[in-house]
Amino acid sequence: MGKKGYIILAVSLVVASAAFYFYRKTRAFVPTQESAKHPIEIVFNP
Amino acid sequence: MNFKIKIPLIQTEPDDNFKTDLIKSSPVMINKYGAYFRLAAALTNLPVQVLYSMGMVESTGQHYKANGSVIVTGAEQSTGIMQISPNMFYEVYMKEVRGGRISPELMAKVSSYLPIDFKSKSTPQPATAALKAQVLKALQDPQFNILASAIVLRRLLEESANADMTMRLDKAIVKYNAGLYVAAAKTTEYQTGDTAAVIKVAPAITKGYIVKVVGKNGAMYYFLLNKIS
Repeated sequence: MGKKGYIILAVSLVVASAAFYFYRKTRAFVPTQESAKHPIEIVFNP
Repeated sequence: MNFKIKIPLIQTEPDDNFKTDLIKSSPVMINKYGAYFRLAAALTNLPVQVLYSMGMVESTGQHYKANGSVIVTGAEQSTGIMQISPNMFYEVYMKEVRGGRISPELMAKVSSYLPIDFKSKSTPQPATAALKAQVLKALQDPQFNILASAIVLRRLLEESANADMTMRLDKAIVKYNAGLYVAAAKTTEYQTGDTAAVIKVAPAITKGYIVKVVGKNGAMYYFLLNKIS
């Protein structure tokens, strides 16, 4: 692979990572049968 | 793995009138309805302080008007102490039942107030006028009102959770207060922003609501600081 190939690979990785990060951030949690049983812990920082 | 709710979510404080209400009216609400709140919290795996806080903001802990009738407001017929609307409860509870998320104990409790077969494919969504009237009648009982609200809040909180299981009470409040399909919930600010960003896009009436519940010296803060459970 030449220099151009490495640049294309690097750019593709950055774009894919950004897309995955955005997807994870915007994706709503989907409530499941199991998740209804999970307790909720309160993190209180007065 | 546990869900988490962080408090406070914003350093903004509610107005002094609300802080006074917390001191003066929340003990009255808890004396009167505390057992209902604690049972609803236990049946839905919710911290009871979430329910106390919503009750204080929605109605200052009042289920009835001075004339003895139940408080019902607006076109949505938001009812009673938790100002829960029949349509919202009906839609959310049907999803919860069909998703297998309601324990037998909780289902038995709901059925004792509302004998509707939510599992049946023939039960319509949205509710017919007759079914809606049935839900409205059930919501006039303060115990069922609090339980119905807890069921809705549990689902809205789970839907608000990030990948790390941190729930966003501010986001749940937007849908609870302004409706499940409110436009604000479709914005980037709501989906990826912090509480300040959510407040920015929330409907006017909801902005203050969020601060009252999750702000510094707000309701959650008050109940947790004073170890009220």
